[in-house]
Amino acid sequence: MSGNGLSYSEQGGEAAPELGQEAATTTTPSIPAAFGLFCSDIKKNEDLKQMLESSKDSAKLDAMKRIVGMVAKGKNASELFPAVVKNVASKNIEIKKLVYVYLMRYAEEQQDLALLSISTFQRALKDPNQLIRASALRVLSSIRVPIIVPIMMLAIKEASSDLSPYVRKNAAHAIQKLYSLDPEQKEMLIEVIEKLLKDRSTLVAGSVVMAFEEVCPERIDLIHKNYRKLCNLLVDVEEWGQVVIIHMLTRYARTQFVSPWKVSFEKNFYESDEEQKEKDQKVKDTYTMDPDHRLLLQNTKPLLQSRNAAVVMAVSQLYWHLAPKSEAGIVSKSLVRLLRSNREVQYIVLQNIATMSIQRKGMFEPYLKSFYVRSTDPTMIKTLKLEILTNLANEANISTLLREFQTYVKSQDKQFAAATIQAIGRCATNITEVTDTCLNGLVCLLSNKDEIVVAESVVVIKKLLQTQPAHHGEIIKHMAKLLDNITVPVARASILWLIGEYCERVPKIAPDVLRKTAKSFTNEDDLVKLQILNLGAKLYLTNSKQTKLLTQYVLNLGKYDQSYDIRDRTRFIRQLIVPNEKSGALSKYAKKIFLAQKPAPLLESPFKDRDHFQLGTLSHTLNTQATGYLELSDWPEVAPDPSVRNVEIAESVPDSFGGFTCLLSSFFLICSDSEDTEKKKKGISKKITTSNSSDTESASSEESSSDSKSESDSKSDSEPGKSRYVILSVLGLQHSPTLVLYLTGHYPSLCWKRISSSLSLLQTARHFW
Amino acid sequence: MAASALFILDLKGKPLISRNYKGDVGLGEIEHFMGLLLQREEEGALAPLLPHGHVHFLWIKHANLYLVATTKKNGNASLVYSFLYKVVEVFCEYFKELEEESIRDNFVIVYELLDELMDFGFPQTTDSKILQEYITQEGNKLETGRSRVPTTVTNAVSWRSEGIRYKKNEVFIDVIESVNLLVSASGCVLLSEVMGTIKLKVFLSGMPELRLGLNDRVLFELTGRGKNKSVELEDVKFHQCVRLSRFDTDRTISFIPPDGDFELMSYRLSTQVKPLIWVESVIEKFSHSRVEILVKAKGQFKKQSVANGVEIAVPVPSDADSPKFKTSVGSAKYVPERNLVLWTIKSFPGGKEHLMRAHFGLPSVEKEEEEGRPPVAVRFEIPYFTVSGIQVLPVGGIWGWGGYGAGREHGPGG
Repeated sequence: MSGNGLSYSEQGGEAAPELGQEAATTTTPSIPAAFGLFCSDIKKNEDLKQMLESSKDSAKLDAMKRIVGMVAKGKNASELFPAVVKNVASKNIEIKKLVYVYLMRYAEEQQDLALLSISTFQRALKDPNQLIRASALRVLSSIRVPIIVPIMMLAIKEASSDLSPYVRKNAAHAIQKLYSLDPEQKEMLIEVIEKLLKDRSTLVAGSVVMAFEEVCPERIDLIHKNYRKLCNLLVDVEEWGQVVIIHMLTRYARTQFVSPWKVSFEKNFYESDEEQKEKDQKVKDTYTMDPDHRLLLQNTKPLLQSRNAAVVMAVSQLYWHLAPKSEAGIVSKSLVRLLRSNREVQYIVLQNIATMSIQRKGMFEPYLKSFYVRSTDPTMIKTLKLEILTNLANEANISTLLREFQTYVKSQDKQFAAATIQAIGRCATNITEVTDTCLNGLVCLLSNKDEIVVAESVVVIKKLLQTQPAHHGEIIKHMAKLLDNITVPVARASILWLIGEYCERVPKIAPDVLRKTAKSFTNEDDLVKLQILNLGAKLYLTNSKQTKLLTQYVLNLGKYDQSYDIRDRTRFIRQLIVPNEKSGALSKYAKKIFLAQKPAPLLESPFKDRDHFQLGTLSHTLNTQATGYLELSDWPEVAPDPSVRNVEIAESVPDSFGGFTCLLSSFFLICSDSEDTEKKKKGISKKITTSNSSDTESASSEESSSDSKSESDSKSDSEPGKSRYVILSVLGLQHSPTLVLYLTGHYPSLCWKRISSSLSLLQTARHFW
Repeated sequence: MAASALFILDLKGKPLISRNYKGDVGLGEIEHFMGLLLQREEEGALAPLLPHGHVHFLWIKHANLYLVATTKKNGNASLVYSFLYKVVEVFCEYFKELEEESIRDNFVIVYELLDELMDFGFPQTTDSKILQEYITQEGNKLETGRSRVPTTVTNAVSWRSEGIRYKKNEVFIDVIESVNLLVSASGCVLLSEVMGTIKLKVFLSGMPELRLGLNDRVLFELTGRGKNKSVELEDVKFHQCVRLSRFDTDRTISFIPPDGDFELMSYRLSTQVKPLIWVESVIEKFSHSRVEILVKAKGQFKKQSVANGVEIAVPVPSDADSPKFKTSVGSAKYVPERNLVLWTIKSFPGGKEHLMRAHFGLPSVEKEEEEGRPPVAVRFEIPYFTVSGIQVLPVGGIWGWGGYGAGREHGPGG
């Protein structure tokens, strides 16, 4: 028992930093309970060890399950390490998996012991079962022990040429892990990435692009040769991979293609009309979209129908950043659809729409009603929707919008109501036709019951009046009356400022307001006090006869105020407006200083400056640059050589078989032995087959063994001998449409039986022969 | 890229389970999360993304749990949220419900799942059907000693495993539509849209290739068929298995279905829809004493049709007590935990109008903050009727669809 007690204290000591907060919050209420818990743990650990050493797999498995349970709960199970490591060589795959989970958690802490397991992994890396190879690589690379870096490097290299695409995929993941463990391996890793980028399996594509982004995003030259392949594979990559690839391709395209946005050219004054025409012609000629650019846009479009919000978002940002302005509109429909998903997704999507809608109103105008606020939306969603509505406002829809806004002002959510009033203010400044209506509406709101609404209206009216110097008198009078009832400091300050600014238009009221506020000066908020001083100074300058004493009084109050800010301001104002022998030349200009024409504030969208971040990224959401943000470059003036993306045709034959078959319309030709037609076809096909097999024997055999993507394989496997299938892919490559025939076995003749659709394409194919 | 670590926290912010994928953000960072959350909540600036120094917390809330992903680098925000919701979905498939208890009961599986769902911060297999093949609930299969390795993970068709056999090959199709309406205070419909999903239950052998036909307007125009009763699908999203490129070129929906239940597609139409059941409510609140509610429901659909299981949920103040009801048909029930009155009508024929009166007492002491007025929700089902008029047309699949029995169709849910 004493032994137990000792180890208890040890373990307690170890567990404390490990558990962190949990220990702080949970163990405090009852120490005896905690003691009991740990005691039982010790006992458990003893019998766990025994179980692990037993010969029965079921006992081992049970033990491992309990241990992993402990790990998951955050309990310290590190003392079991030696016992667990022994089981790494277990034949039972279930036990193995759990041991791997355990190892990943504790290997870093117990590096020496972890080394014991390495040889097992090395053996597992050669296992005939691809899943075991893959998981061994995965765990090996997840063990963050610097000593094994060379072993990892070796394993990654080997796995990258594994026959199974699943293992290669894991190799791509391991690259990132090794890079984070030891950045010095970068050069070697880039070689592996280069190799894996050439891979044709859809499984690998996403992961290797991920590794590329993580390790060497600046090596854009590695993409050239693989660009077209990636574009074509994209539809078949799993959804998470799609997101990564799309983001990478966006960045790539921005460096490689010229901008499709140049619509209007500046007219040169000194050129004659003819020259101008010529130039126009030239520009028109030069601006044809690079076929590769078009390919990317084409191949991403169907993904807008994906069920994964992240994919839709990624395609949308691609279109936003890359498509000609006339085409970007197609994404709006899909984005609007995402507004029906979970609120966090909504939040991100709305933020992106807000940014988009500032620059291109037209995109979302037809969907105006989709952004109407629902009473069940949380506040963050409501304000974003409001933001978008404001951005979309124009002469045509403003009246419906204002009616909608009127409802929002009545909302129970006060924060939202206030935001609505701000939005009305922005609409009023942006659309001059409705400024008066808005102003009147806002004045009506001044008699609202709710104080926050009134205060917000005052603030907005103040801003509006500055931009609209025409009709002040009435509204200012109205607001002066309100001053008695409003208590919100910002609103009071706004009213005082307004009266001060336009005191010459309300000569009777202004001094009276000063009198009232002077009385209540000591009880006011700092913000209001400053404005009272301001008002006093302005009145002193314009109407010193009536207000001299009052201003003196206010200045005296300010002199002894608790806030140094107010004392400072008082001193400053006094020196400026009350000339004495000490005051300098400035006081002569006091009137000019105080009553200068002030520029009207600009009511702008808070999303104005966000568009320099790539949409959909974390940085965009935060509106600050997060670490690792990769800048989208501007369009190049002149497109770099497009021929770097060209791939040799010979290379593209096996290539196309690997990935293109399901992308491009493919036909099944059933060959039967009876008919004896079209000998020519045979000739062509045979030629290609030979080149195919000689090129990469291993690649094609591997493809057919593991990659059951090509339906032909499974079918030909299932019915061997009866009829043979020929897949004929029509590759829609840019310049020369190539026809590829893939033959399974030899056959005497061919006859056409149409199974798949697309008659027209079939005819093209016939024509070709 | 996506996440450095994933945490599942209980309501108090205590980590139930955590998985550190990258190790570049310490596990201790999560301690700041709850404080930050509360602080933001107080300020009224709650956002699904909370920055703390260099670490960013991206979180969602599910039932009584917080799922938090931490990241240090610039990630893809929409990917993280999609992933978190996917995690919830997977867990729900495993444990029926994702809540504190189900996590506590299944630490091992949850941990294994977290391991499988993400590798080094990058989402992996997230299809619960596939995961279920090799992370089994009980692990009973091990007793047999055979180390079967699922081929599905390594397949290109990752959603269906090979070698499925059924004696009777069947497919069931459900079309479920819900109508969203936004009605202004004056009673005019501002926005109406139909959101539909097509759900399939597939019991087919082998690797069947199916095609589904709809009375889709674009398709009809393409093929030159008459315009009678076609529907314009505003936008559609599909399950992973549908060949998007095919749909893009010739509007055929062709796919190799996963086994069992799944949602094939969902669509949205924003056509003018006349509300099927029009509900008007008058809520009179006499502060300090009582609330009187009058609800009028009118069936605005064909007289021959009958809406089944109509449920009208009318929200009431949270401090209401002593309910009294009077209904012309059906029964009303007070559900205090959701703060509403549930009026249920078993069958509601078209063209009829029904009334319900409710009376609640209010405490004499009033709460300080005013409550919002949540909307009245209506839920119902009309069999063999779709709002959009969408129809599933039998279309031959490559694998011989004709042999399979056609399924059933369902009406809309509220």
